[in-house]
Amino acid sequence: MIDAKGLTKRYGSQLAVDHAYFTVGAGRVTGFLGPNGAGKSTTMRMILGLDRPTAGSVTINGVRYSQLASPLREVGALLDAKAVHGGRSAYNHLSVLAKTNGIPKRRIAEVIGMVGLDSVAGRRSGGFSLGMGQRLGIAAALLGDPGVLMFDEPVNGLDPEGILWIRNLMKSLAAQGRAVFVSSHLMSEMALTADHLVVIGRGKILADEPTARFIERNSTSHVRVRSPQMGELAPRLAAEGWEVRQQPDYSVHVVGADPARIGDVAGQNGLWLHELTLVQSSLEEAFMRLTADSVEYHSTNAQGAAADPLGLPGVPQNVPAWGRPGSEDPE
Amino acid sequence: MSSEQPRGAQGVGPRWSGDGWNPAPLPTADENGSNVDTGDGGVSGHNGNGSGSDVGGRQSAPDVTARQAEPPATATTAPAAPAASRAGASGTTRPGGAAGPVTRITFREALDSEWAKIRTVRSTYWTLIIAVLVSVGLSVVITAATVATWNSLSESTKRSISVSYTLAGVNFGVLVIGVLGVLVISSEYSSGMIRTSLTALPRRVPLLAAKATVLAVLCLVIGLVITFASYFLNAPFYGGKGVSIPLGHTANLRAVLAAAVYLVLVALMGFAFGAILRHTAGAITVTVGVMFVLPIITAFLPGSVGKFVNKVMPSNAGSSMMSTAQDASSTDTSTHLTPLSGFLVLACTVAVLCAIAFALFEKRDA
Repeated sequence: MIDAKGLTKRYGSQLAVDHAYFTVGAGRVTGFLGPNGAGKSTTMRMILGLDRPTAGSVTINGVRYSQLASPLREVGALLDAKAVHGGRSAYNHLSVLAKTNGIPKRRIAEVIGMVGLDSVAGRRSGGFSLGMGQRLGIAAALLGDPGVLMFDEPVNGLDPEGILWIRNLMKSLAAQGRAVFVSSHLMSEMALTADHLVVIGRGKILADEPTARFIERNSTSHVRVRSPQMGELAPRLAAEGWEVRQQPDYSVHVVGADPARIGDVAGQNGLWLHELTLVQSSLEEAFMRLTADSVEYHSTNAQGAAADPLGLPGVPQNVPAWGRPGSEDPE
Repeated sequence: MSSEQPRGAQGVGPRWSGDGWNPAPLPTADENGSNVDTGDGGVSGHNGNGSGSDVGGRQSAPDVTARQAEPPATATTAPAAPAASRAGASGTTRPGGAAGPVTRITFREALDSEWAKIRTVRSTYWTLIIAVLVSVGLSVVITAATVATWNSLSESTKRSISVSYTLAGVNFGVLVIGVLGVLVISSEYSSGMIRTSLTALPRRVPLLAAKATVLAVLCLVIGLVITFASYFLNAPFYGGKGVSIPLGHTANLRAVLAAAVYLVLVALMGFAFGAILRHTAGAITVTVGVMFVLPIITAFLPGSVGKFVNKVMPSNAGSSMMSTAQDASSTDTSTHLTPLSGFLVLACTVAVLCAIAFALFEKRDA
């Protein structure tokens, strides 16, 4: 398992990873979720000892990566499918890695079979498609039969079949008792694969909890109400103790009430309703809200806006945090 | 905290098929039950609230194995459960991995891997073939030209013909070998392979040292092929004209061997530039610049300082290594180094560059 304690990485004045504490446990898929440039890849590189932390530490099974006796037996990582010498065949690429860690030749053929590259094992990897490259990277990760596996954005650019394959692979690896740590900027993807979530935004860990609890805690629903008599209706709804948020399109979002009760209030007061819609915020919105909050600290409007999937005009806060200038990926 | 077998959670669960990758015992459900909530984040990272989809039976398995295998840790520490968790986390007592015995990576394994790397890419073969063709070929061309115009040569020129004439092509071959030195490391950066290499072998100095060693040995072997081939192909032509260059003559043998060492040193210089600049085109440009362009500039430097700077230039120092007493130039120590000082100057230059390369490689983020 992976254990990060106060992990910090600073590039010049920019804090790419800011005192990150999290753990990645065995037997489950831990999603590492964050917008582009949030510090996911930097964190993963620090776990692998490729980048040196400015402060803090991260250990694998209690040991720093560089101190592992035989790293490929402990950790399998796919950071970048293209991180292979294109002139070397798939088999030779794996062979080169196997030699350093005393992994028997038999195992190379095994992992090639596992990822389904048997027919192209002798071909130079430079000619591989993205999907084949990804499979080769996964074969390399599985080479040492490691207990900890890390994948950085593994489904990026893959076709649906490839995505499904990786999803199932990660689940099966976790079911075998391994710790699987997979990064993504897609909440929807994580909702399908991850049992546990570590959410990062602007280098800060925003959540470290089971996926189910993260969804429960962060997703909210509201009721969208339109009425020609909003001026009268809104105060009455507020008087019920519900939060009423005025929207720029002259609707209001009522939080904490169900549509029936709102309809009752309107009816009791003889007010017209033009719309009464229950809007269930998705996981994606929960994630956006969380990461938007990490940036837009003081903007009171940001929360409501981020929760609206339609992206209403005239609400600049609705732009996701990572879409704003100044949040480029430092990597 | 480290041990020879800091296995992770891989001690649990069904393993991949294959004889050496056998299943490890699964923990039983009741053993784990007690341990799930001890999670201080140390082992399972489980916050004690369990997401519904967790495979609970397996996730605290490391705790179990740690407990079974290391009773002292549990016994001596008062809050037993977390202690056991930490012991598990440290991996001190992991059962033998499914991947067979885990041993610390040896330098021998690093060499094996680097040797496999260098011989599984085409660029190695191409650069070596070109290096041989350029070195041997140009030596033959120069010899042929010299022999063909023999009658028009002055007596002093004829007297100055020495073993270095047979090795003339090496002065150009070093460039190709230098490019090989650059490529060996820079191709890892351009492809991103360096990150994969470093995950397989995270101890950086041994990794770079293994790479440099394999490169040096390979270049020494090819260098000896080049220099002896150059000698044996060219010496008979001069012999035919009455200029005997016997290999039995110590100075001649030394020059032929020194030429091979020169090739190795330039390969390592290219390697150092490659590691420092981490960019193929940049490092090749610098290598060519230092070997070929810089000496042209320093040749024009005035005064004794200028002469000194010029003679310690890598390519001039390298040429001095191949010279013998017969070379007219070698007698003038104000403009040329002796073979031994040529070797020492070039070796020191390369050593300094390599030291910088190793220091940067150790320090920088990959």
